[in-house]
This record gives sequence, structure tokens and C-alpha cells, in this order.
Amino acid sequence: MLIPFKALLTGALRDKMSLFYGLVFPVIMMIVLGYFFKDTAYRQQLLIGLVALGGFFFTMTGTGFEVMKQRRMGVYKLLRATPFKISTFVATLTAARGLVALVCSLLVFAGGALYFGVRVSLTGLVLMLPVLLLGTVCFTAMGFILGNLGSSETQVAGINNLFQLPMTFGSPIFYSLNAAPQWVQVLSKCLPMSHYIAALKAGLAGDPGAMALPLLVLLGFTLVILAAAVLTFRWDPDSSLLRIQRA
Amino acid sequence: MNNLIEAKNLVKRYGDRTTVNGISLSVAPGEVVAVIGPNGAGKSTTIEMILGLRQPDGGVVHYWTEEHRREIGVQLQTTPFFPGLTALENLHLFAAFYGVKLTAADATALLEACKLTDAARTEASRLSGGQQKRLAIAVTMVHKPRIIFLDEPTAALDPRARHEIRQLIGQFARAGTAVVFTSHDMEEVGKLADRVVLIAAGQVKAEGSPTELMARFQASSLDQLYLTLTDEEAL
Repeated sequence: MLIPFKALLTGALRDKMSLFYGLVFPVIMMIVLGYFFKDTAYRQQLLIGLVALGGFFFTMTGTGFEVMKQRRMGVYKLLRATPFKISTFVATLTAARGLVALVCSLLVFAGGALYFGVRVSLTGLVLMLPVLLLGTVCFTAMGFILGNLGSSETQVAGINNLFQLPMTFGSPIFYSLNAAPQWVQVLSKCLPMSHYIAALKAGLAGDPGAMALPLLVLLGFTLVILAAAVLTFRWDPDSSLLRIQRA
Repeated sequence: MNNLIEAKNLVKRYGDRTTVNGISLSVAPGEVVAVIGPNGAGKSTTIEMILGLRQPDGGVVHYWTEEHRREIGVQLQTTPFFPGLTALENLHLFAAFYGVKLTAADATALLEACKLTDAARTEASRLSGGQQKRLAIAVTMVHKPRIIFLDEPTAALDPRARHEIRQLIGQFARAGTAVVFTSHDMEEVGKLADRVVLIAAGQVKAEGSPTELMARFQASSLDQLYLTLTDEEAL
């Protein structure tokens, strides 16, 4: 278990594109938006939003492309010929990419908190950790679905947009949705990102009571998305989704 | 059971089309078996059923041990390496998949045997086509298996790379590893195979040593034998 974990961790650390979107992109956004918006409350919201966004990009998009590439190259097919269980492989890949995403999120958060002058209590930090972990698992599972549905870079990029655009602009990442039309607010509640951000905010404020409900909803989303990821998993690049499920 | 593998009457259907129609194939310890035939004849599907990668619609496969997955090496037509990892890191990773911890000495010996010493620290995806195929074959040997399956190991390679792969296969076979390989290159088949299994239209059309087959079908070469037995009108 340790050797595959280390190897997949090395692979994740060398994934330059994911690292750019998970680490560099949120930092750039923070610097640019922080320059124009000086309000402390907004900066705090932006910090949480960009931590969530960076982790989301790294886990979902990065995992989606990696899963599609590995399947297309025949990695999963070859794995089936070894005694190594594919479920163990999926768990190891999730853990390796999740760890890197978590470290990226913490780095973005630490840098942003310093830059924006956001005060963070130890309680707040401790409360945020399980939320970050759950969000990482949720979005990694979403990445598996993305990789399972797409058979080429073009397809994955297209499906990625379908997942990414509503999550980015339908959740309170860059702005509050309190003044948005009712339907936008309802749509927002249907996205795991909104509950992730709500739980992170409550965690940062050191309020476990306010954190409980969004965390539970996020857990529910995570379980459903994990189930969908398992159901849509494909071993073989030549097989259709349905045929693989029967095999 | 004297053989390592005995596959009997394998059948595979996709809708109305029967890709493999009652193929039987056995492999003895240390034997080199070439599976030949036209594209779409059912060679890869047969091998994938033997390896457990595809579920047969009929027939059965017996292995010499229940732990056969630990003792079989596989090279598929694609070269499946992990993105971002070097040749050496890929070897260590695949060894772990087989439950083996690759020692530094074993890794060095394997890389040397496959002429990959200089490429050990190069990212696998950046290796040349020939190097990637050699790495794929190294991966099949990483857990010292009793039998390896190579699906078109020399396809799309230049003559030198093909020559090197053939040498490598010969080397492993002489060391006692049974080898099953598919190929369209009859020169390669003649040089390496102890036994040839010719598959066409999902069935075994002929089986025997290269010389035996040429004598039986009065062919002057394996190429001629192949053309005669895979003549679509005759099929």
C-alpha cells in the first residue's frame, strides 16, 4: 500500500497543470481581487471561496483527466490482471491526490489569511480540517465521474465545463448570493460547493453548531457522488458504460 | 496438471457476432507459443479471456495454481504507464501491484536486461516507442513470473527496436519463462516460437511447431503458410 501511495503522490506532485489551478490560480485571483476590494468581510468570504475553488480544480478536474488518461492507456485493464484490487487502487489514488489538494488548500488559506489579515483561531482551523477532507473526497469522486464519462481530452474538457461552471458561478465563491433571484438561490442549494463553502465559513468562525447542517448535507452529496463514481467506473477504453457494468 | 494454462472451448460473443468460437489453447512450462492470425481473428480476445480481463460466454480456463495472478506477466497492445513517473518508478509501482518489493539490485538487473539503464530516470511517457515497449516487457517480468503474455510486442517498431525486443523475449524464454505472444511478423514467429497457433474467424485453424506446420501444409515459408490458411475464400 505504501509504495503505490508514494508513487501516486509523486505523480500528483508532478502534475503541473493541476498544481497551477490548485495553488497558483487561487493565489493570483486573491492578489488581483484583493487589490480592488478592501472590505474585510468580503476578503474573508473571498478567501474561503478561493480555498474551495483551488481544491475543487485540483481534485475534480485533475482527477478527471488523470482517470481518463489512465484508462485510455490501459492501466486499469492491466491492473485487472494483477492481484492488486482496483478498489484499493481507487482509494490510494484518491488519498494521494486528496493529500496534495489538502496541502494546496492549506497553503492558499495560510497565504491568503496573512495577505488579507484574516484572524484565524486554533478552533477555527481544527473545525475547518474535516470540512476540507470531506470536500476533497467529494470533488475527487466527482473527478472519477468526469473521467468515467469522457473518453478523450475533448470530451473530459466539455463535461468538466458542465460540472465546473455552475459550481463556480452558482455558489458563493466570488460573491454572496443573498441578493440573487430565488431560483439562483435554490440552484445554489443543489450544488455541493455551496454547502462546502457554508461549512468552511462556519468552521473558520469557530461555530460548530452552524457547521453541522452544511457538513451533513455535504456528506450526503459525497455518498451519492461516490456511488455514482463506482457505478460509472469503466475498466476498458473500448467498452461502453453499460457493457462494463455487466462484465 | 502438467500445463501452466489450459483453456478449453472458449467462446466470446458481441451481440450477434461470435468473435471467439470454441478456441482451446494450452501452454507448457518454458514453452514459447505464438498466436497468429488476421486482425479481428480473435487473438487478443482469447488472451484477454485467459487473463480474466474479459468474461467468456462459454468454455473454461484452468491454471496451474490458484494464485496465478501473482505468477503471470502481461503486456497489452497499449503501453500503460503512470503519468509523471519515471521508468524506474513505474517498475517499482507495478512490482507493488504484484505484491513484490523490488530491490535495487533486481531493478538494476531488469533495466540492464531491457537496455533501459540510461532511461531509468526518464519519465516513461517521454521514452521512445522502442524503449516504451521494452519497459512494458520489463513490467511483465518485474515479479519473476512463470509465464508472460505479450500482445504484439513489436508492432509499429523500427527494425532495430524489433530486433532488440526479439532478443529480450528469447533471453527470458531461455531462462525458463513460458511466453505467449501474438504477432503479424512471421520472421519473428519462426525465430522465437516452439509452437504456433493460427487463429482465423474465431477458430484455431492450425497448430504445431513452425517446421511441422510448413511440412503439413506444404508451405515453403511461414508467410506462405499464413497466406494459405487465412485465405478469406478458403475460410
